[in-house]
Amino acid sequence: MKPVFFAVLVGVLLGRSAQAADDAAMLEDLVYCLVCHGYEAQGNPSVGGPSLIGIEDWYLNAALAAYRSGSRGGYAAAMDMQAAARQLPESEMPRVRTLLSLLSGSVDQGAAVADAATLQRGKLAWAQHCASCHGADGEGNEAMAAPALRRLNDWYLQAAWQAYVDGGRGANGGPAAAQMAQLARSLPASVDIAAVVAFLKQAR
Amino acid sequence: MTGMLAALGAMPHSATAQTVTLRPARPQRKVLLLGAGISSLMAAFELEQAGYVCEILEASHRAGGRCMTLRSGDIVDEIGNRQVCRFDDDPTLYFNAGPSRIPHEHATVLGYCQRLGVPLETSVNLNPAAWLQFDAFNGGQRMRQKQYIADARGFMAELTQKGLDDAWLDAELGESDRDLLRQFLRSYGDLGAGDRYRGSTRSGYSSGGLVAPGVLRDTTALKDLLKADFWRMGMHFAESSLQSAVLQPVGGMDRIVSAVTARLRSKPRLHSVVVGIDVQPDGVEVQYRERGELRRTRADYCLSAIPAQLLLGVDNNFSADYRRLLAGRPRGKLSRLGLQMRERFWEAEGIYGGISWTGQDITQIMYPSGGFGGRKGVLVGAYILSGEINDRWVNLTSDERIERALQQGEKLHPGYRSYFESGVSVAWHRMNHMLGCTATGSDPGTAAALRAPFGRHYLIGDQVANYGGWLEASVLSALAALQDLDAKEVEAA
Repeated sequence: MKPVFFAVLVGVLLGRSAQAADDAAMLEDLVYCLVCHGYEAQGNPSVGGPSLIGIEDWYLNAALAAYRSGSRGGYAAAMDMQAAARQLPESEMPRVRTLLSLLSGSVDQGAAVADAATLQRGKLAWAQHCASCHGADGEGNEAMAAPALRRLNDWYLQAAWQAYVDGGRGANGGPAAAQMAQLARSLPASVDIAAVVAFLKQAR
Repeated sequence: MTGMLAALGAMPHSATAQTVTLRPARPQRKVLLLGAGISSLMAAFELEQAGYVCEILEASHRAGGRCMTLRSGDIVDEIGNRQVCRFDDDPTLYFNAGPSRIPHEHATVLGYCQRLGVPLETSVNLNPAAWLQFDAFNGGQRMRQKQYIADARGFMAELTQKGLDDAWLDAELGESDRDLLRQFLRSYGDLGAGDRYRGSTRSGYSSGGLVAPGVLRDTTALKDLLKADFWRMGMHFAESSLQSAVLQPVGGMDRIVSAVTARLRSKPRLHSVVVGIDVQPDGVEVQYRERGELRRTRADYCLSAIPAQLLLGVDNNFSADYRRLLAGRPRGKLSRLGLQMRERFWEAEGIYGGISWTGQDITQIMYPSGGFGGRKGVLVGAYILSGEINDRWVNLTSDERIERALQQGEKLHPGYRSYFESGVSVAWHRMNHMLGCTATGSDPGTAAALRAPFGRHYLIGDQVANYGGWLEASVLSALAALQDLDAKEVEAA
């Protein structure tokens, strides 16, 4: 536990002036981000909320815009986020950004440890299919509208991939999401996604 | 302990009131309760009676959890659908957004109502005068349930009479019992001459009946009756714990919440969001944010009603096994919607309480069981049980949900929309600080395993019951935890 962190964080989230009388009581509860994304935004697999630690500002904007417009939100957890995004006023964004900039923890790397052969397999598949957009080390590339992936929880990477394969994600999305969906659906079955995830999470 | 745990597993058939007798607490023994739902509140009530110091932390703006009654001015904190209830400021105009019925077998909760002085009244659950409406049946037109039920039973009885096989009868029944069976079927189906079903007074007359001679209604052919999904649920739902008449607190289910809270020395601390739980050998330390301040508190025991799916988002030192169990509880989905109507038009249709069933998304319309003959009334305009429908419904705005409810209600009550004044909707799977509700019948093994404490941390609430969604399950879970806690205290003393 990191008490200092929370004191700052909460001050950021809650130090607001009340608006209409009806809103006042509601706003005190507006700590929506961490209800789903977990303490210190570490992610919570039970509600499908990924870690927000290290999220790029450009990607945050793009994701929220996609949720608000409805082009993203094609599966259960994403629909929850769509509702939350539509409720989040633009005027709150500076505070959200401050919150996110304060996140300093690191994401749980997952319990499973992959062996060297798996990591090698993942590394090769990454280089072949993923690196051109998401960067050699998964650091992301704004020019390609490809977010950083290494910062994400392993379970989320798997779930996001599956959503692209199943069509819940990307079907109504912008060009980058559509491209990702197309890749996900056209990739040979022999590509071991679990190995790619292991590579992203464990390779240093 | 065994008895109570068995009762939890066997819900909803625990007809005997469970009680817990805690030995007097040693000085300054403290219990932390996380979440101010009915399980925590009842546990705190018992603990304080025994001399324990209690501290109750509640993340949201109100106590009661899903035991929530909405009245004028109340806030619904659903993510993406924040609303304020705009019913008239009138205590009789309320909407139980969560549980609304207490079956007669839920003796523990009924016992607490008595102890706490919560007046109860009858809640009409099954009302054969209410409607059924299914698009594939009767040209989509509504029909009184009693008409459907009388025809269904009549034709089934006729069919059975015809199908009785002499060889079978000889083998199973003696001469006199054979005759009894035939009489039973005549009575069951209201069969006429030649053991044929040609309609029944049970359907209600199409005209006359009291003064003028009654004219029987035409029957509906069996093959058509089968087309109404009414027989899948609505026709039989009130034949278990949810019998035709159940009980409800006068004025709203949250009367139980206010009655128990009034008796507590330590009131729930609202706006207090738990962010960390540290289970130690001799106690539990909890960190929480209260209106922006980070605070830390500690107690000898912790009873947590935080939904399992959110508990995993709290910093904790649970074992991997315990975390796996928590992750194994699914997020249940349920939605309800309340509509204030300017007239109690359903009473003009002869409907006093009960439920109409439809194949449309709203699934049910529930009529108030009190305030008969008054002017305005609040209907439950949708009570959606299907996960598939709930997935769609939750993504509508509150206004869209109300619009659909009015549109669909029109098929059950022509002119429905013209009575509408104000509505409020709750999808429990998207309520802030909950994000899910009862997960009845899913994976009883996980629920059972979660009833065992992790050190001095007990998970409580209907989430650890085999049969969730009932106050009884929540309260029994709390009592089971208390009995275990009591035993631990005896060992320690």
